[in-house]
Amino acid sequence: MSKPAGGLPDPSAAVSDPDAPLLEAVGRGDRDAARQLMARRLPRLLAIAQRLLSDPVEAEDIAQETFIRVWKAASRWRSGEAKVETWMSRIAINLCYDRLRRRREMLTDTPPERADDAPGPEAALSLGDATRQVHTAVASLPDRQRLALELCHFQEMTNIDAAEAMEISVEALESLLARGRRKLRAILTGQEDELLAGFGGDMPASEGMR
Amino acid sequence: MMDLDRFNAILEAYGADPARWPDAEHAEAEALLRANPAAKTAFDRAAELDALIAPAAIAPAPSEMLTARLLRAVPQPEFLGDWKHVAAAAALALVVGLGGGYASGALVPASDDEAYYEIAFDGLESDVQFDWEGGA
Repeated sequence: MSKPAGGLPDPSAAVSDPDAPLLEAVGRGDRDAARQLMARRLPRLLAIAQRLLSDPVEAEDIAQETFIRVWKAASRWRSGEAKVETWMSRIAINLCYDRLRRRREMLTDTPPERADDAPGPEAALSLGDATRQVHTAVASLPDRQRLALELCHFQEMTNIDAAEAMEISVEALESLLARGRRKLRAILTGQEDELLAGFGGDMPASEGMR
Repeated sequence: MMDLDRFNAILEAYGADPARWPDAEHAEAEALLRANPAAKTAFDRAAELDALIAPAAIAPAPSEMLTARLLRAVPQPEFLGDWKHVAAAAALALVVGLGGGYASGALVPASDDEAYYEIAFDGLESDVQFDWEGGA
């Protein structure tokens, strides 16, 4: 797929969409197709929602709501109008935005004793110190920087698909990514050797970040 | 040929894995990386950050309950089996569709794409606009 450096994402870029036949089959009530589409897309939607909300239970709620909306629209889907994966990601992202907005409204009404975006206690127990430190650093990024990083870096979406899912230009996406990575570098600078050692020795040796 | 500034901008945004670089600039970026020592230095620096943040990847597995709920929610075709009911429903749909379409043609969204998004976002309290951290 073509990925120009700049400009608004082009919806017509979805030349071949492997999810489209599955979605059309779901529209005809085909549960096997639904099962396949979930196998392909549910883990990614969960990861996006969990990255934004830092809450696995809420992430499942978002994934469920997203798929329910997709099922409802399936019978009216026509291939070529949009890319299924991008469309689904966009639904999930907007549902997450809505939850985040409501959360912030509640925080304004009743400020918590301690705000913390780090992984919850259960997740923290399963992570080593070094890994937890990196998770905390990523969680500290502003929402959109965190989302851009999740889509492009961890989910390996193309820049065009990620920009379309976020409803921004590719330039804006690049700006979010660069700002996010700069902030991560600033947070993690000085701890590289301990972190890389703490990851279990399977990471490349570091000569330090400048 | 790509200049060093653009190469650095690509590294700053996408990191050092060429698989994440924009396709249209891939070849030129690789050529610059081979030819320019400063590009190689910047590449190594970006690779260090990539290695540091790699463990932050998350891969949540869907619960069996979630997948079961979603499968149960797959809409089933309403008219299977009885052709008389199917024919009656089709005739009714034709009449209603023609009448309704004629009456409300002006209200139809401009494209199917818009219609999909309307379905998708129906019920959301906010309309995409969200108070982010200060713009893109």
